[in-house]
Amino acid sequence: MTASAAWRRVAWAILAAAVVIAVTPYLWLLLTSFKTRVDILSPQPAWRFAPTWANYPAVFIGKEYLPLLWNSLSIAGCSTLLSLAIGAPAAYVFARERFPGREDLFFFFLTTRMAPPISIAVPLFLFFTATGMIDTLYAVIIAHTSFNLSLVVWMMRGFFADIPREIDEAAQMDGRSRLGAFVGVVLPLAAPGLAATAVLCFILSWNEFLYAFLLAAFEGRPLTVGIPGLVTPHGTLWGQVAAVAVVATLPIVVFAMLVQRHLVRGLTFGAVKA
Amino acid sequence: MGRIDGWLRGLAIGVLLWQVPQSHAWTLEEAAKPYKGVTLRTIGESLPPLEAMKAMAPEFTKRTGIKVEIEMYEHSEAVNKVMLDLNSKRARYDFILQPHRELGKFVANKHLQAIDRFLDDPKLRDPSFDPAKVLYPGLWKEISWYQGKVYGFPFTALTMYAWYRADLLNDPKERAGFKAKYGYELQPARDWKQYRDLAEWFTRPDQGFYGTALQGKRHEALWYEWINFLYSFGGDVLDVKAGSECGPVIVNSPEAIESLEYYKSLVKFSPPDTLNYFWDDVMALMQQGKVFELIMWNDATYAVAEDKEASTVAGKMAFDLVPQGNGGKVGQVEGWSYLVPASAKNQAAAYLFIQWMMAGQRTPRCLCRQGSPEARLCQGVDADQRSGQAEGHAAAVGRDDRHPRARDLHVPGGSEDRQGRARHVGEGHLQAPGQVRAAQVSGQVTDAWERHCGR
Amino acid sequence: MRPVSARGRLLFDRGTAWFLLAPAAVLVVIFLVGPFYYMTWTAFTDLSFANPDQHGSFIGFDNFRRLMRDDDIFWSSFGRTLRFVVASVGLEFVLGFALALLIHRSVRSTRILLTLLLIPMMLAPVAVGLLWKLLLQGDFGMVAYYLRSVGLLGRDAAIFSNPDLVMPAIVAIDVWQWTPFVTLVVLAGLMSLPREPFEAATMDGAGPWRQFFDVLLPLMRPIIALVLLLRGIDAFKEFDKVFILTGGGPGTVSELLSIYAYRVNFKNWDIGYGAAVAFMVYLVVVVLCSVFYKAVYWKRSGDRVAA
Repeated sequence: MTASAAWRRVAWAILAAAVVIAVTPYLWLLLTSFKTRVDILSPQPAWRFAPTWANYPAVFIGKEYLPLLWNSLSIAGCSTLLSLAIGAPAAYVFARERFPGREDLFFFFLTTRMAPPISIAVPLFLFFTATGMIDTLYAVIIAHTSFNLSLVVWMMRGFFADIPREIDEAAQMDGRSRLGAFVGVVLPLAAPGLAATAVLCFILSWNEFLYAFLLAAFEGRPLTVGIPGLVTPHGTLWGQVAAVAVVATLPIVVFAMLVQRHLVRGLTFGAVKA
Repeated sequence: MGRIDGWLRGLAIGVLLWQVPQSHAWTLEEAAKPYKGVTLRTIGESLPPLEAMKAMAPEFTKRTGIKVEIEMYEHSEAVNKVMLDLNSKRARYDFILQPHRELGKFVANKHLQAIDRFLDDPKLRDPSFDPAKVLYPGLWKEISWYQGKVYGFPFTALTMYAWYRADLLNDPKERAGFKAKYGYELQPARDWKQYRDLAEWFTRPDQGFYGTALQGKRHEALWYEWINFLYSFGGDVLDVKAGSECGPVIVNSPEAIESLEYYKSLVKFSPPDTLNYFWDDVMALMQQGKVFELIMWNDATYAVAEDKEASTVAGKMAFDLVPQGNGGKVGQVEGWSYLVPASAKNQAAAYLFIQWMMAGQRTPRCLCRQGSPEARLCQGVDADQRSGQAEGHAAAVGRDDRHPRARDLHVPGGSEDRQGRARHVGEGHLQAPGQVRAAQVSGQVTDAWERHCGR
Repeated sequence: MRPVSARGRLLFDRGTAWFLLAPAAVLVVIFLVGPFYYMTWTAFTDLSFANPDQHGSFIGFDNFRRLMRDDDIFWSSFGRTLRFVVASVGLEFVLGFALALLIHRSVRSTRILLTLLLIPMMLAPVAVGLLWKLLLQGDFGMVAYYLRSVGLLGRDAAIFSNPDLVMPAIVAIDVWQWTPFVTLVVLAGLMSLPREPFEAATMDGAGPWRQFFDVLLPLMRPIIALVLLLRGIDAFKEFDKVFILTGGGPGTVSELLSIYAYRVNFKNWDIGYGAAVAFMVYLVVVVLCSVFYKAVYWKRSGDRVAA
């Protein structure tokens, strides 16, 4: 009893330490976004200081970064939806069908994650230029969708595999078409998995830099592409960098909070059976 | 009838005579008429000069009906975007703002339109605009000309000079102590030995104060800093007269190696983190009052020496030329230029805008105060500005043909090869002092230079 | 166990199956395979955006020959990247696994705890790089200050200027950023494990260590594989953080393959050679991953995957 209580205390201490390590840098970022340059560069860490609100309007209004937030949202939102819409059916086929070369094809989907983005980027840029799609949000959305597809196919295959085949068959017996069974019965059952996958896709697309930089127009660039513009030969505008980074993480934190329950359950579903 | 006829004729001739010279007087509105409604698009580095351009552009639009869209990116983002645009021939930009080092690459690959065509066109050329008069000729020739042809005008004029803490230079206690130890007066360094003496004297790690700070990060900044030393020591990378020429690779000459050894010797008078600094960090250090002397860019002057909000040493700075070595007085010529891509859709309109920016006295005061990264002399700015004087002095040296100029290579070829030099400077730091091998540029890098020079 | 009959049977007709599979396949072929083949072709040419006389004529294996024989930077960054992957993914795995076990054992409601723990992986890599520069910068870095004040870092030591500290620091930052991901996935796996094998093991009198190694680890094998594979692939491509923090320096001590590839492609604009570098990177990752994938998944028999 006492041993277990002591153990519990140790466990909580370790977890508390982990949370502190994970959160403190972000907290520092948050504080930095309310500091003046002199406070930021102070040699002794300034935990207490006279806060300034100036950094937020300076970057979002003065530097016109507000639209970038909207660009980030559209790119990440659309590409997440698109990856799920295209990837989930493919994953379903991989989970249910047996056909020659299935495993090779499946592995092939995975290998698309392995090429260094820098090498794919230039040809992709030339391709979108040739087709006239360059400098549109579509180009970025499509690029993000294609590299997220492998993740969707991989994760969702596991989720579908976990849903007993008999459920499909029962739905078909009830007079649904094969597609109807997939859309009406299987997909809702896999919702937690979809949520978990969606969060990961969203994070990857939201934080992606290289493709967004190369393919988006100036007006369409997302926040990640805007951040380096705050590192100038006249000094890094640390307060503004922090303000952008704080704002940029908020949507993900909210999104992740909302689907948190599904996130863990969803991964449970998928990964073990993958 | 005849009389009226004659009268009418007379009137008609009179009107004609009155009108003819009028129609020949060049006006921007007239010249811009054919391009009304056009939208120009340009790209550059997100810094005050470009912000100023953005603020001024609406006035041009009001007069001409030509809109100007300005894209502001970070330094290397702006360079990469343009490089891809030119190579894919998509012609997004009607004119571009690019640094000196890119010029040769662009010209050799036929990406640029030489602008003599516009300068010679009476419909476009503002007769009152005489670039040779308003621009520093040395600067213009170095950064906007390539092999005898003109491709644009300077957008910013950058140079580097030595920054000192004036308050410490004038401190009686420091002066007495320094003289007792080194046997001469405490003053801005005349030569590199004195520069190192100063660095040594003011290095007090226990107080968190250092003599100097080097920009030792693996970054462009390292290259630009080191060439001040290289040229001042009498070295060069290629044995040439202008940055657009090719010549024998002499980066391993004794002078060049000596300059690197000297550069390395300053590491011990710099803060411990000095090998991870670039332009931003050394500026922040100076603003925090933690360094005595630096070799730094002119366009950062305002933020350190004047801006009381950002700097704890505002009003306490002194400036001077980079110390002299065997190479004599040296000033660096650097800058970004307005260039017109060969594939651009609205070249003439773009030229009109560039000319409008270059011609009148349109430089806002605020810009001049930033240490005047302007291609023209800033007039009407407080004459007693110390930074302004130093800038003028260094610029005069850098842009005067009589003095050797520290300048970037801009023969075609990749900047990684140039950065290869920076890498070796960085690696040089890691070797034990006095190890000359580290100061030699490897065959791989010299080969690359020779390859770019077509040998 | 399912009836055998269901197993061999096609649930869909071929048309429906292809209809569902086709969009994904088309997208991948056009936007990933296409560019990839273009890149592979480029690797056999001298294409350069910087040099006027290199228009992309076919030069056979010259680029690869140069890579294999003369490019010492490529090989040193190759080794460095491998060491980086092993160190960071290894640490992330051990720490993440331990944290997940701890949470699984002792925390009932994970909602707030997990959200807090996940914050590092929600920051954009670009922001992570700048944030850690802000924290570790020698003159005003908050973490550097406390490391100094507790004596972990000498007063004259600076992390990113010291060739011996640069890579460990980068590994530490990567561990900070991605351990939560490992924790999340492993925790998910732990929560889905069946109870019976553990009960059986307890009945057999197996202690906690025996249970861990003989029951838990084998059951968790697929999830371990998933985590290692995903993290390994991404660590191999690591770019943003390191580029912002050190640019590959001082000298070349933190030059990873992706940074080298970036320099060849986007600084030198030596597109042909850059493609050869990228191709080699791809080849290594694919070979390593397929060996790993086969060892973990296919050895466990097809029907596990077919499930």
